[in-house]
Amino acid sequence: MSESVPELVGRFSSGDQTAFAELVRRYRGRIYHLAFGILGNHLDADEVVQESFVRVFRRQKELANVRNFTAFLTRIATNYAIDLLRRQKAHAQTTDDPSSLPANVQLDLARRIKTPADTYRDRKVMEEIYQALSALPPRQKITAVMHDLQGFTKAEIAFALGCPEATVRSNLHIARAKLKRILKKRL
Amino acid sequence: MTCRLARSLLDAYLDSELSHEDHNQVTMHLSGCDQCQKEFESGNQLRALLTKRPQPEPSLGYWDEVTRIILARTIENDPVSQNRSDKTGSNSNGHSILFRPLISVIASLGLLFAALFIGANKELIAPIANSPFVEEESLTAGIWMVNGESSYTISPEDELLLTRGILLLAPPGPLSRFDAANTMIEAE
Repeated sequence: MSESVPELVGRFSSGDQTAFAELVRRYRGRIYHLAFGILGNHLDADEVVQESFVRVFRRQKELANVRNFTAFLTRIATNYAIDLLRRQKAHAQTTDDPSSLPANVQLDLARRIKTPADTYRDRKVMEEIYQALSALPPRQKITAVMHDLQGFTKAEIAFALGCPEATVRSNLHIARAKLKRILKKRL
Repeated sequence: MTCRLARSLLDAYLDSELSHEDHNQVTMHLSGCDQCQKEFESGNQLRALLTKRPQPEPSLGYWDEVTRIILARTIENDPVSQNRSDKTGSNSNGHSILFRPLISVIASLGLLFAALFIGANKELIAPIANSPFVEEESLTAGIWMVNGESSYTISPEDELLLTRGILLLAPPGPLSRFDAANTMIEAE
């Protein structure tokens, strides 16, 4: 029987490094998919995965007081993803070249990732969704990705973003309305 | 229920977050209002599109690699775990960690004392060289000798023996020193 997450966190906070390695193995996929959903490209998702776990490691002693490790890690990853997203936006605004837009970069990289359903149609859908998402402000985008793509609850998103649940609801409502407009021909 | 109220509850309706009563009221409203029904369907389709979108899945090699990098950036560079591994490590490692600085210190001290010793001797020679004591050139030996209170000179015979000894002590090589020594012995 595998060890529970609170047990692993307890062992890690008391100095057992092997527990940290196990936590990395258990959560790396979840953080990668969350980051890919927000940032839309493999390189940035990879950076979020690495940096999030490095930051958790540095806060090893704090973990003794953390009740929900998943929420704690998600918050760290989300904050880092927001930073990267803002950098992406800032970079995109400094140039008029459409090829430098994050959506195009992310789609180019997404094409290289082989999936069982890696067909032309899937890629086209993915391209349209990421382009639509990239048009949203960071917090609306993250709320939509976390809720509708990754299945996080509104309470979890509120904790990750450090805002009230009402703000999450509002952001989600606005994000959905915008996505509906952008993806109108698909709906 | 008004259209305005129904639409304000539509997100919560889609997310199944409404109470049983509110849920039933929205369902009833949707069944009788085409506009709101259309709004609901587009919301439902968007949700389906987002949740069913293809998700990129990196290879197993990537997971191994990223885990290795994370552990290299954390556990392997952690000073606390480094200390632990040093303490639990082999004796030879512990010895090498202790011996290296010790040997360095000893070597440095050796060099320092050698430098001090040479420096002190030079200081002893320099006053003698500059002193008003007799400085005599040994013409017979053909070399400069410094004479102190007890005069000491090398005779030509001693010089010859010394030269021969140095030549014999020297290892054989391209200069053929053995041959030179032998030639000197034969010349005598």
